[in-house]
Amino acid sequence: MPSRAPSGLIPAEVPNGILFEQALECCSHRYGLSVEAVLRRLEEGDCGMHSTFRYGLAKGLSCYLASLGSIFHEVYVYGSSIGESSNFASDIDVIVVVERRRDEIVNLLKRLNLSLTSHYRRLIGLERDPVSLLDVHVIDRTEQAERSGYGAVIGGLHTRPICLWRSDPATTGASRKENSRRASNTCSSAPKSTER
Amino acid sequence: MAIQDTARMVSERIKDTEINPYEMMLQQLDLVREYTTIPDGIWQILRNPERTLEVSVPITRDDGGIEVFTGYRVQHSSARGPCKGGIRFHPGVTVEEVKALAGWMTWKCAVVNIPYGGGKGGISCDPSCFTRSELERITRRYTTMIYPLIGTRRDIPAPDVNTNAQVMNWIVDTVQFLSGESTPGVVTGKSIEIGGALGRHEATGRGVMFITLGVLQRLGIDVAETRIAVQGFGNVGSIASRLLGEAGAKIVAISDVSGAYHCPTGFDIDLVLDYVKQSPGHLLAGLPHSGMEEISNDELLALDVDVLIPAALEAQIAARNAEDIRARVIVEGANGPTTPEADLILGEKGTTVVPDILANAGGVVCSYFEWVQNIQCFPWEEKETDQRLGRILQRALREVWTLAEEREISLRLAAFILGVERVATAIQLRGVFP
Repeated sequence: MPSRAPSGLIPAEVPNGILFEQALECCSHRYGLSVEAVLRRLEEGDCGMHSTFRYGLAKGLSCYLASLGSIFHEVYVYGSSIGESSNFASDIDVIVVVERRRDEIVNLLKRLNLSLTSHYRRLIGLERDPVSLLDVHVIDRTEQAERSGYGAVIGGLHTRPICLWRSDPATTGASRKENSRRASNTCSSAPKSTER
Repeated sequence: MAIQDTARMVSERIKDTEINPYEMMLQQLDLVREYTTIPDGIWQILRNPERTLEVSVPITRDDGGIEVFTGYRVQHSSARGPCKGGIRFHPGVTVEEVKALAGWMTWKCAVVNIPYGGGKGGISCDPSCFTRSELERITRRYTTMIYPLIGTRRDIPAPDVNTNAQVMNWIVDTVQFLSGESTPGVVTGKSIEIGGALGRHEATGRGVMFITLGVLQRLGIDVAETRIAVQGFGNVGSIASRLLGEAGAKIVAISDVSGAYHCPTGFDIDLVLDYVKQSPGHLLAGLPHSGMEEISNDELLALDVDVLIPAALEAQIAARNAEDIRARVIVEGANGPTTPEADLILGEKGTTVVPDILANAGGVVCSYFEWVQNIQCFPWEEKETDQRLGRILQRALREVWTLAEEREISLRLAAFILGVERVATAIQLRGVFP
């Protein structure tokens, strides 16, 4: 977009390239395939590969959110991304736990979604689908404690979300830079298959 | 495969991926939806522009060759009045971008409550490759192509990226020849001599001043005790600096592309303006000012000041530096200087951010004044423009501020909600024809 775009049209800063690289490395590591082979499988619609790819992407996303400071507390993934049943159009079901829900958080997550969706379509060579790559639910500490709404899903026996990242209680209130450093330390390597 | 190879492959595949700006505008609308009770049908109207015109713009280059460019004019909404929005000449112009910007103009005009809808136009071209006569030909041909849509009571273009008063003058002239009538109100941002408004040049900077003073008053900060840093010393930044200085504030930091400068005791802005007038490239470089030190752009943004006015480029306050910002108030003189990540971090820190849609609306309000003067065939004194501008922006700030307090939301969201609700109300009152 040319310069002088108003704030409503400013995209998220998300480092798409790095997130997608990590997701592909995650698949490559798990299946023992080259990245070219992983991309081929994704293009062919291999369900297991799509699930692993989405898991890796969710993992990268959780690291990115962690780097933004003490705003985010926990990030969970559930649904087809932790199974073997994702396809081209599957979204990534994510629950984000925050101290308190704010419009800036929702706004950022929507723009992250737009950015990731556009890049995903381009990477896999899709025209339209998926309409939305992320299906993110934001809950606050109270909802989590009271197990209301998606707070109930976190502890659900059937859904069984996986916690991708959790802030260290000892560092709560730490500066964004410190969190960013810690997050990058814990998230820099590609997710291991044993994590799943 | 080595990580470097993966990186190369991914970047090859996803390079040039454009985030669709119109989708982004719709996402913003969806965000507002959660805070309003606007009926579904009205949302459907809001989500779609009223008209989208794509035109082919052929011109004869100076060497005799013919080249064809694509232009657009989008009218997002005329529910509150004639469509209003600039025309940009840029190689990156797309229909999606023009649609998004037209929508943004609808909300912007509604936030400050001027009787306009939103529109936008543009040509996908690189104007730096044109001679003056080529630029005139492409402007006149484009005007002819969008002529069925524009008009004093229909759709009023204005300058935007890479267009200026001269381009507007050519549009007025072309429309006059096509219609056989004098119609200065068909565009705003014209030269004063053919119907432009006195005070237009200063309007955006003056608007930033009014908004800044209004926010300081609400936060109980004494203007005389206020230290302000201004990033960007162009039209908006320099005028806001001068006017805020005259109001008693201390401008302790300024910058432009040549560098950033810090003067803890406060700059003599008249002296700086005099210097810039005659300096090479009208830049701050080499400014002789006592007690001043050169600092980096990041250091300017991180200064311990009361107010920071980013009046330069977009995305200057980002995740990487938002935590470092120490200003209590940020007034967005530029368009989009704060990224969504930074907005989040600043909100957490308790920083008051006055969004661009409100803070830099002085320009469009003055465009409205120009249009009114053209319709009345009665030019105003500059003082009248300045006073009316102040009244409109102070009222808009009051309304946005009140809404933000009532609903405990950010000023950015409050402004957006206010704008969208006003347009929705207008649509509901009019009803759907037939």
